[in-house]
Amino acid sequence: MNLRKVNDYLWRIEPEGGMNVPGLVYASEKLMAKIKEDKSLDQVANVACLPGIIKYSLAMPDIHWGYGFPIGGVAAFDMEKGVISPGGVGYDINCGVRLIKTDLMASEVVPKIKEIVRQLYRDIPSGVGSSGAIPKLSRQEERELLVKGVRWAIERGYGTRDDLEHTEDQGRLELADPEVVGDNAIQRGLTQVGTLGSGNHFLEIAQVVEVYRPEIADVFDLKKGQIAITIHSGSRGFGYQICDDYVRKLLKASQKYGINLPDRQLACAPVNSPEGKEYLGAMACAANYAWVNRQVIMSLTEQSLLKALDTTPAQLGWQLIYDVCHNIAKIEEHDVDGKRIKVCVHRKGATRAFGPGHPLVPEIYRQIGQPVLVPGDMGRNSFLCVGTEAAMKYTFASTCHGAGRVASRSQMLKTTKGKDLYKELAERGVFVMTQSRGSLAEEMPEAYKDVVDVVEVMERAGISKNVAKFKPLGVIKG
Amino acid sequence: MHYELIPHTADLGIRVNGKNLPELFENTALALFDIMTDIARVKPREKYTLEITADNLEELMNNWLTKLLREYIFNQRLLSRFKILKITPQGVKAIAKGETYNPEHHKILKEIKAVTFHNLSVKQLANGWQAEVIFDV
Repeated sequence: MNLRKVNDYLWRIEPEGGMNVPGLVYASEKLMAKIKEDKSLDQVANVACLPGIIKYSLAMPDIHWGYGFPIGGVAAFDMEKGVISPGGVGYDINCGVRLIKTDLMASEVVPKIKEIVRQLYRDIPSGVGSSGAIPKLSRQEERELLVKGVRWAIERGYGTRDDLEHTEDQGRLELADPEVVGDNAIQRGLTQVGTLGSGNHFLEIAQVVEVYRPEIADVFDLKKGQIAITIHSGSRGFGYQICDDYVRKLLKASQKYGINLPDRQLACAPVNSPEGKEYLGAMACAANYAWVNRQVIMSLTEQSLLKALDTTPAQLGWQLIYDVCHNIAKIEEHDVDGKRIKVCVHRKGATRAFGPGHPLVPEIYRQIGQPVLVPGDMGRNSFLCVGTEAAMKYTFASTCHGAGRVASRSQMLKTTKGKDLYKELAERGVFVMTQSRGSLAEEMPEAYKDVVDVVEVMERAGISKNVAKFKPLGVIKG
Repeated sequence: MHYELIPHTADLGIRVNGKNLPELFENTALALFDIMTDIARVKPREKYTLEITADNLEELMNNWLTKLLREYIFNQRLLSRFKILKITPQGVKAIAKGETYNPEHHKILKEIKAVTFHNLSVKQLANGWQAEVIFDV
């Protein structure tokens, strides 16, 4: 592989073999040393081989080994000549994050953090196969949910209409078509709305520890010591089943359309083919399911906090800042060679980052750019950033999504054997409750890159701008 | 158990061996459930016949494991005994024995969310067969 450094934050993989375009990896020297240890760069090169890819196969600094596309991969495809690939979205369709601010300060929350986390742990189902947050849906109700997205939840009293403006795509992709979703997926989705799930999903209470750009932080009404909640979850078993079903369908479609796959998990179909459109319709259903999921979890969390703190909504000051997707494909307009055209952007472990003035950025944020939420590991930090014009120009309006793993789960189980992990995190000032110690071991801070290094690269590259840094106080995990 | 974990940054990989193809498929099935639960506590109370088809051997391995995983996801069945009756690269017929998941007797150790095609291989070696599979967890 011909990898060369372009500058302190950017590397280029020269096209060779079947690559149609170069690879471009945003990373520092320090991060690149780790990145080279797994096969993620090979995956960046493989994505570059797909038909109709525009300009480059991109990777963000949180890149690591995935299926087909690397995690942290971004690629845009021509609508006529390009393809859509479930591997470029991920199994957990619309895995994403929302950030909610409160009027609480750390000084009032820290003394009560254990009671708060215990209440949240009781009220929000998490862990393996978690279910039962809201009454089981009928198939008809689920179909309505898939079409309406977040509006479905709001109509049932989970949150308010104000939340729509603060959610990417207002919590609904119009392309959603329940007719192209198999019954297996529908069945899996009946009982999981409002549940966190397992793996790297979490709900976190944190405080603002640093403000980088006060004039932008003022728009968010955020200051040091203020308490905010992050919810990280996705489309649960529903989305997984759709990805599973469609990787198989598109493997056959790849053969039908004569697409040479360097990796089976890059199974794809032309964007405008019947198979491609079906996947987009099913993916959109899963995206809408995930948004409803996070909306319901947010509503349950609000109720849980009111109980734990014995306070009123006015005093809590609960306000959704924004909700972003990390695993999605979108049809967006971008400038390519001086022309504004529609492209199909895949973001797998990457976040949309529209710059100031973009019409799809909510009016309240239009002057500062789209909010970008970047959660780190549970021992260190998370970030609130904003998108930029440079992102529009250089990365199809995309930036990083999180810390990115460096250690495998089996490695973490070995290195944490015999340790009191809850105590270790408590010594870092974080009170954690989880369904399983094994799951906690796999998600310890040492499993991840330091998100500070990750956002630093995108800040220096001018792709996204840091606004505020958070430190976790309490976490619930599956 | 005739399997070992192989490193993968975000998920869970296994390498499984078998003297012949039927044994390889049986051992891979055992590995799947051994990861999910304490397989010693799964009694062979019920018997199920499973038939799976595919276009090639690797797809067959994926379809086989996916079918078994779906037995748990959709039917709440845990399986602990496997006997391959017939196998070609285009299909496998097998008997599986197990019981319905009971949270009082069975602990789910790890949630396997999907069987991926990532780095999937099924190959014949000098002294038997070997498969590598990555699970999304």
